[in-house]
Amino acid sequence: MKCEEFWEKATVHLAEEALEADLSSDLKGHLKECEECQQEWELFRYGMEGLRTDAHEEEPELFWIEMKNNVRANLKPLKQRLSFLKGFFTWKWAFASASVVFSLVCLISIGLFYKQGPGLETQDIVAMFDPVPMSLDSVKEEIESTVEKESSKENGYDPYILCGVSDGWSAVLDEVDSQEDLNTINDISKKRGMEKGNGQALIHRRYKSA
Amino acid sequence: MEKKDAELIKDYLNGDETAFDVLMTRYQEDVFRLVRSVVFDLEDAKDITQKAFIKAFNNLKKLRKRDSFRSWLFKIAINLSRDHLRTKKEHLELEPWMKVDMENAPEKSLIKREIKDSVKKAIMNLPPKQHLVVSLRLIKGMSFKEISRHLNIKEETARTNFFFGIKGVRTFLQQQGLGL
Repeated sequence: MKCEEFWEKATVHLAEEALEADLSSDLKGHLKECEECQQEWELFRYGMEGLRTDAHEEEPELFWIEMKNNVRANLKPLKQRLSFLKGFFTWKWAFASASVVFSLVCLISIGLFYKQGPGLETQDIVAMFDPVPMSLDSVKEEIESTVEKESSKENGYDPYILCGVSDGWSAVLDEVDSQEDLNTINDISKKRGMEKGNGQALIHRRYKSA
Repeated sequence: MEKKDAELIKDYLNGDETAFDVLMTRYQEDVFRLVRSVVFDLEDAKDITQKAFIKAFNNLKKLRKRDSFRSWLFKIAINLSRDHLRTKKEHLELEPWMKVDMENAPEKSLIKREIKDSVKKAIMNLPPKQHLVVSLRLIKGMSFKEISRHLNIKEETARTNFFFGIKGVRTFLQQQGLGL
């Protein structure tokens, strides 16, 4: 057995066997033949044994008492910690917490009512462009100025939620950002017989009447 | 019948100071031996053990699984030991080694102490993780399963660190003129 092989196997022995376990016969055989490995192995073994002995050295009773006292002296006072807890759970705090929870529930309910509740209507506006616009940006600009005028609160409308322009039911404005919205615009423009390149634009708007 | 850790923790948090005594007595020696296996120095080990208990008792409320107090405490102690190893870098200086017939030398115990100090310095010279794994395995006698649990690493990682650690110890000893 070569020295490197010995150390590989010896390391596995240290990793897997009990600390006091004897080396296997082939490893012992190498140590008998190789003085250098024997010296190094003995050094290692003595050193580890010494450190193990130190770690398990008996300490006098006073050592443990002192340690306990040092820990006790450095703990946060237990009463202080408990009184903090007691102070936290007063009726005043309980009432305040309940009020906060109630208010949150009310706000969430109101939000849900306005989001999904009745009164939400839709309106389709078909606009004609003559001549046919050169770019989507110009269509967008035109539609936005129209919608802005119509959507003012004085007219009883909330700002539009969904607005799109059909150019062969594919072109849409930035506000249409989901596939569902895109499908809506395409369906409506298809139903209305709008064709690609004819200069028609569609604004589909959901609004809440005043 | 002895009270379980979880009951003692409950008592302590309810203001029973004797529960503190029982928990300290139950674990202070174990924690101290664990820390000493890693940091070697008696005073450092004592200091770290105390810090571990102070940290544990001051944070007992945060411990959800009160049955796992022991392993939680050990983890705190190991983490503090690791921090200690990271900050404390010893300047390792060794006298040149002379080959001596260890079994027959008249100053056998003195030589053994020198050997122990050399191996200690070799371990101290390792990166903290390798140091921890080698110490916990060869001095504390922990299995790799326990080591991986305490250090929050995979068993395989612990083994790799062990193998590199042993190699590191040997290299250090060789550089110091010890061993081969």
